[in-house]
Amino acid sequence: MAKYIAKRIGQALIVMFLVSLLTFIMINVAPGDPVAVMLEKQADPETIQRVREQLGLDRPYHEQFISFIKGAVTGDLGNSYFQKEPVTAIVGRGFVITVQLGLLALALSVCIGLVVGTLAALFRGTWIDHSLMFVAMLGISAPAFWIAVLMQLYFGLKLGWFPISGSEQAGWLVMPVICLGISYGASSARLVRTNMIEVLSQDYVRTARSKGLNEFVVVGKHVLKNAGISIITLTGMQLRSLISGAMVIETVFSLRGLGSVSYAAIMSRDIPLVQGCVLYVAIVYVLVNLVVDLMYGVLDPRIRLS
Amino acid sequence: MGIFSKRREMQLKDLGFTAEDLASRTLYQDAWRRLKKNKLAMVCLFVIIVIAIVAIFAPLVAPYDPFETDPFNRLQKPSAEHWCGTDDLGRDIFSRIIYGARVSLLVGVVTEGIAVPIGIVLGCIAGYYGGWADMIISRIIEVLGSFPFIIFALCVMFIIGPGILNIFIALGCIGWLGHARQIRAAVIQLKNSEFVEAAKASGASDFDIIFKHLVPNCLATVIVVATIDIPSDIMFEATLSFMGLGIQPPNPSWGSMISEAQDYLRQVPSYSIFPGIAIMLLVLAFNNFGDGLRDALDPKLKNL
Repeated sequence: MAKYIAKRIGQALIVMFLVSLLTFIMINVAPGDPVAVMLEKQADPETIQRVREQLGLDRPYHEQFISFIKGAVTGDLGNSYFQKEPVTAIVGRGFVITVQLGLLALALSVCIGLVVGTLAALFRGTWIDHSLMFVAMLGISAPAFWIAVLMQLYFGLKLGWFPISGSEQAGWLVMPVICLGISYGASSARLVRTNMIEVLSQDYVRTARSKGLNEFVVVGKHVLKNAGISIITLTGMQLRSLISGAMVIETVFSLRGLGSVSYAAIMSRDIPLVQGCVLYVAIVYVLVNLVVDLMYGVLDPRIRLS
Repeated sequence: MGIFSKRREMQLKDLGFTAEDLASRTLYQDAWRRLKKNKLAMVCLFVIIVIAIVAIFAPLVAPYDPFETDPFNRLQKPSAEHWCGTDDLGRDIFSRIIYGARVSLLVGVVTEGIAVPIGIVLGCIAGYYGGWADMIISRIIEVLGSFPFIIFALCVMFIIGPGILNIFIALGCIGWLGHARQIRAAVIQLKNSEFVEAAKASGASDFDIIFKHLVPNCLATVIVVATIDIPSDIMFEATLSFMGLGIQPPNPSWGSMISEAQDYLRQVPSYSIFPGIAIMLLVLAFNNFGDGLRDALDPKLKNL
């Protein structure tokens, strides 16, 4: 097990390094000089040159990259070009919002998925199954940002229950979490149903039932436990795309999370901020992958050995 | 020509099999027969075909010019004249939705057109040769896959700017990852089979083995994966256009229409509702059709 963990952590570190290298290359091949954008048109060439030197943009690329990596390791990503603040502070604030949104939405989506999927599997082939799966398919096919707009329209403007933008008023998280949760819950419901149906047809379920156990014990103790691995797989997969999903939903509700911050940074060519955002998101991503993989290893010995 | 002996055929006919059941069929004829029995998938295929025809003949179908502004008829509610109302510049929303279908369908087709060939070639190389080639390609897939899509798309747009062509590039760059992974797995499974050994023994080159023997055998997987990916491509385009990174105004796209409508939620709620219904309908149709196609072509891929 120790060897497996070490191997996975090593791979994660390599991926992190390559992601930062790729980001660095992408930013440097992009057209448009950030200094010229920053100083707008008033600056003369000498000023531009001076600022470039101050920011270290005149040094060779490999030196810039090495100092970026050094900074990343020591937790100093420099200052944002436009907001005179350390990148770590700006990204950190956004990070808190995105993580709150993402984790709450994940919890909601897992609940929806488990309840709806289990019900549909238990009542397989009946109208309950058909109508639940129809609603789930609608949820999968509707874009999350559109569900968000519809919720703003009805619960925000018409009923006035929740604020439709910003994170200052109470209840600001409710609508973003619900629309993300619905969107992802719909696809988990389908997968949970498929897995549950598979487990329900196993011999040990029939044995449990014929022993006279009541249905709650059968489902809770035998079926859900065995469908566990695929549900964890699913949760891991969802967590990855939830990061992207949360970043889009933030822009609908004007929340200053990682999504809005990186969008603004890219649009204004704020290089340190872009690098910081990508690095943070990539770290979260790689960590999620690592945790999910390690959990498979714990749950399913077959994976650990191969 | 039947596949059974005359006597056996008679027996089977007595058991209630029709002549059609007994005729020899290719994999694809078989799949089509299974697909035809799936009513939901057929209805969805019909919906897709109708939307495609409407999109192709948009200038004939659309009641108004989608670019024509009308300052006197701004932000109208749905009426007999304007079925879905008008937008902030007085343009007919129904006509813009019809033209928007072109973008969504094109994104689905072109993206898969880029992603499938790249996925086939790299997946085959990784799976067939193994070793270093596999190691490098698998790591590339892992690194690109560890970029959240939205950040990747933002970076691509940052470098080459927003626009429909660039959406194809961004989606194509990421889209092949899944295809390559699937094909690699399929090739690894197939490369030790007897027909590949036979081809090798008869002196076929690697190129011939890959493209004449392995690829045709993975084709069903490729078709299924591509069809299942189309709705997510459509969804990504809508999302990018919604964020202002996709189709640039005044060209209509369903995603950008919803984003424009956000400013007028109070005045005309219907403005934001109709483009969303259009996205949902098309994605729903592709999702159900994809599921049907998967069940018909390759029942092994049930959990995809």
